Amino acid sequence: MFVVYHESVVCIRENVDNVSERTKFDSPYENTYDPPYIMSIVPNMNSLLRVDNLYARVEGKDILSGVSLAIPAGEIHFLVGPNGSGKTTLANTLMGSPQITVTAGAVSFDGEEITALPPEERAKKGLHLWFQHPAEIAGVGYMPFLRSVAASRGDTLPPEKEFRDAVAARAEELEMPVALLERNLNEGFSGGEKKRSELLQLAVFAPRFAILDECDSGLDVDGIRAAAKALQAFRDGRRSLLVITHHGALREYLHPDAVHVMARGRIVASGGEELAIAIERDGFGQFGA
Amino acid sequence: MVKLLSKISDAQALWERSDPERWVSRTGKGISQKIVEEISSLKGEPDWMREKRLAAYRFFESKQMPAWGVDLSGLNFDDITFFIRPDERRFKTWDEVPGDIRRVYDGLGIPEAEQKFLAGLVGQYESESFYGRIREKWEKQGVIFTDTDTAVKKYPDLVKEYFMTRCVPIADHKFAALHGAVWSGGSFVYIPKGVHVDLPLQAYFRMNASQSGQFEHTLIIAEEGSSVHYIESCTAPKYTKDSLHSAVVEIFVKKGASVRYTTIQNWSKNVYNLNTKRAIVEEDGKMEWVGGSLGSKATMLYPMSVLTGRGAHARHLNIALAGPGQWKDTGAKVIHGAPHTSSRVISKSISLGGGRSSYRGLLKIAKGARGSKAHVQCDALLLDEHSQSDTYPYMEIYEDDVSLMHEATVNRVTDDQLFYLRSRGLSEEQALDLILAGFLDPISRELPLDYAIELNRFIRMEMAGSVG
Repeated sequence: MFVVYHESVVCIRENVDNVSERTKFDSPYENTYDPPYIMSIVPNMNSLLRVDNLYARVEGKDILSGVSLAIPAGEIHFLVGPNGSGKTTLANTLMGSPQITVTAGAVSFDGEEITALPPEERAKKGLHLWFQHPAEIAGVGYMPFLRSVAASRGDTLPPEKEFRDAVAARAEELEMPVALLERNLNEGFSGGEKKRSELLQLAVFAPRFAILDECDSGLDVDGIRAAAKALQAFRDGRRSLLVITHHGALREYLHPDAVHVMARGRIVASGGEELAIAIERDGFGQFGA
Repeated sequence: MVKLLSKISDAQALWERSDPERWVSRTGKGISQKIVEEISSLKGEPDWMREKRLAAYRFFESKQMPAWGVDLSGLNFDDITFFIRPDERRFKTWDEVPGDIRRVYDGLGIPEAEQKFLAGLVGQYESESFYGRIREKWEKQGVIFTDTDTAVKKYPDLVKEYFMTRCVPIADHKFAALHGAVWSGGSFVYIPKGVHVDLPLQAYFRMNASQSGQFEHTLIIAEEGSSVHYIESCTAPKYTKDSLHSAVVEIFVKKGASVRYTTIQNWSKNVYNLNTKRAIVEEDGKMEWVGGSLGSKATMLYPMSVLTGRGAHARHLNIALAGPGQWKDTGAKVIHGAPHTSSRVISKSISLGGGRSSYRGLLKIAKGARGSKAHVQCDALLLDEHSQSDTYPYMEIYEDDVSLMHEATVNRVTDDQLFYLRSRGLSEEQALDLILAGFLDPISRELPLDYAIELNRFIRMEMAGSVG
């Protein structure tokens, strides 16, 4: 069961100011919605991350065309969609990439508008992005990187060795080769190593909200299991995840609370896990993608 | 961070600020035989030095400007004042130093540093030095540390033997010849056999007058089995008109001796900085060049080590920073002229805000220099897409039984890298700091700690003006 938004619904939602006005939805599936995923499409709910009618442009090209989304604390949401539908741009926009221009709409985190905040301020508020293609930083050692991030967040830093041992223990838990910690940040890492590196950072930085951009592509079965195990930690009622994925394996571990379908730069449908299953079976054609 | 930035700009303002010009005598603008004679007579030099100046001047006249390297088309010798004497006296304590000069050096923290870290200090203002002192402990052991003008009078035999003779002869090239004609000031260091000076000797050169030239000559002689660390710093205030700095450094490393020459050049960005620095290293001698080239409009500098004795070793560490409007053409030259000599060159350049840095290096292994080893590493970091980096490594190898390595890398900081680091919570400056620290790590590990700290400070200052 899932809700398909039509253009008209999106327009109406902009004017909806409280929950009681939900009835204005003219969706043909109006009577089928039920919590928890419906909370994600209702404005003014107490969500950890909220996106309102977001429009954004990259290199002069409109990529996001009115994205609205709300993710309550304690939930794991999936974002799926065909290639080129704008998922990665949405992820980068949420993190505040300077290469993206937001032309309309707003992003709020924990009740506070962050649309114009630089990425580092968002990170300090607890937002995190797992990059699909993490940048390779030549010359910057992995450990010095982790330490300067910890220092920039005002953490009291333990002595270097203690810090390193703690990180190494974490890496081992996540089945990441500890030798990677002696190398430069992502430099020359294989596809799988980059995924492990992103996973380690997710675990070490322990953000309140993480956007995972294709965290599972290129990972083998063991890798997906290790990742899923770490991601389960977000089910503590306080933190949330927005997971961009193309694969069913991760869904089977995580059982998302809601699934959103993106096409042509907006969310065209939202539903429960069954929506993801339907897409795994039938593809995106049903959304006119 | 804002606080740090404002502190940095205060400090920068301090040395870019010009103080009222002071001089007791100066030549007219431009260069001619008459001006060269005038400089020599103002200094009351012996004939042999006057003759040397005039011979150098004739070479200068006959030589062409270099047709390679940085753009020198804006350099006009007719606009430059080649000699300015700020004061006739030489002082041995800071209390005697005239207030206006004293204030400049106090502001730069020099007298304080002398007390804490140094075995001796020479201070130069404009063309001549005004201060020179060495701790008694080393004076007693025969160490000489004074300005080169004084050395001409007090130690003529040493100067005659070593001054622009076999290390950097006056006919070497146009700017060496110019230097030979108008040189003034600089340090003279003599370390007797077997003496180890375990605190650094430092010289601090300040060029204050607008459109002037500074041509200090530094001569270091380390006798057999001795060791010394010499540090040189230079600054100048910012003017709208260009100035010229053309120094010569000659170093003689005798058998088993070791010399470390460290310099931080932070001339303001209207100074043409065209220097010649060279060392002759004898058997089992060790020469180490540590250089930070931060300021100036255009710099051409390729410290050279000539390894003439078996087992001689040279190490060149160089960091060049090219900011907006700057062009750095720097590098290293090593000539392996004896068996089992070794050399290591690490050169790092950072370009930002449209700056250009070039590495120009020469590595020559002469016939007969069997079993020699050379390792050259030059890395460039470009902080944005407007900046530029080039590499011109020349190698001449005339011997088979040698080991040779050359590595070169160019890295550009991309928007993706900055976004990645910022998404982790680092500000743009912190992200650049991290990248810079990583880039400089192999070289900063080799530096004495106080030097590394000072260098970092300078680099941040340079960056503060052009980043973020």
